[in-house]
Amino acid sequence: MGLIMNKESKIYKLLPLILVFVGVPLLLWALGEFPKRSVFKELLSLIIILTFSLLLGQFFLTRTNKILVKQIKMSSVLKIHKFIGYVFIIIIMAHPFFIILPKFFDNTKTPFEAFTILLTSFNSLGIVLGMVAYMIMLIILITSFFRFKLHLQYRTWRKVHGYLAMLFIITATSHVINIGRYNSTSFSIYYLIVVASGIFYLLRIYLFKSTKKVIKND
Amino acid sequence: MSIVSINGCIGCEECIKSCPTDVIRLNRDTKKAEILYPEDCQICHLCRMYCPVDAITISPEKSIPVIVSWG
Repeated sequence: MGLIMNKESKIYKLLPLILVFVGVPLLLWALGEFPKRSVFKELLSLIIILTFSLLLGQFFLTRTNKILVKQIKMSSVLKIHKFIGYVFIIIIMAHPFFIILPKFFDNTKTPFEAFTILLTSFNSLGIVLGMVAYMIMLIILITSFFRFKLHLQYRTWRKVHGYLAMLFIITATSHVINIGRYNSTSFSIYYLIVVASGIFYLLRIYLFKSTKKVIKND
Repeated sequence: MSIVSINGCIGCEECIKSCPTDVIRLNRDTKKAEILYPEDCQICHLCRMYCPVDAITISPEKSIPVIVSWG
């Protein structure tokens, strides 16, 4: 009973983040004037939209979020960060395959042909940005999973992780804004605000906090 | 109008090649396909079926009766 209460109170404390990174994208999707498609296709798109916004939310699910660390334990914050990271990065890695999935039910182009066209459309900036973001995402996943085998100091690894995350989020958001099916002005504004505040949040810790330390040491 | 919109175009030009009535053209600036002559659309669904990323939406209200030859 106590465990359930504890879990409930943790969810309650995470509510502002859930509202921003699940509620707002859901609302924008529901209110947006996008062409209606089959339930199957809409479901696939919705999974990708929510996965991407949850990955954006990772910037605020770290030890740098002092308010959250105060409310729930730091170990819990990191557990949630790791869970979202591993699960949703794997889902978003599968999204190019989600796109060609409807081709299994068409009889014009095979899924393989569609996938080849998708991967070779280098004249599209959105596709190139998507590929770059995909590679960075893969590096983030590998360097996180094999963190202890890299023999890096924790602070060095954390900085590498943070800067890679920033690079990923810039390229991935540009990719989404450029060729996202659900790219609308409201979605673009939402993404830009979240990305800008996420990067500011991280850089504030990396750049300004260390400057303060240097001043203190002097 | 029967062809409604193109969302999430990757600029592969497959729809342009498949359209028998040249409804769709490539925008040179955005490098994405756009509906230029919607009034010419014959609702053949070829562009929608050839699009690798399922970016094309065709109005569900419009339909063409199936032509059956009796001769």
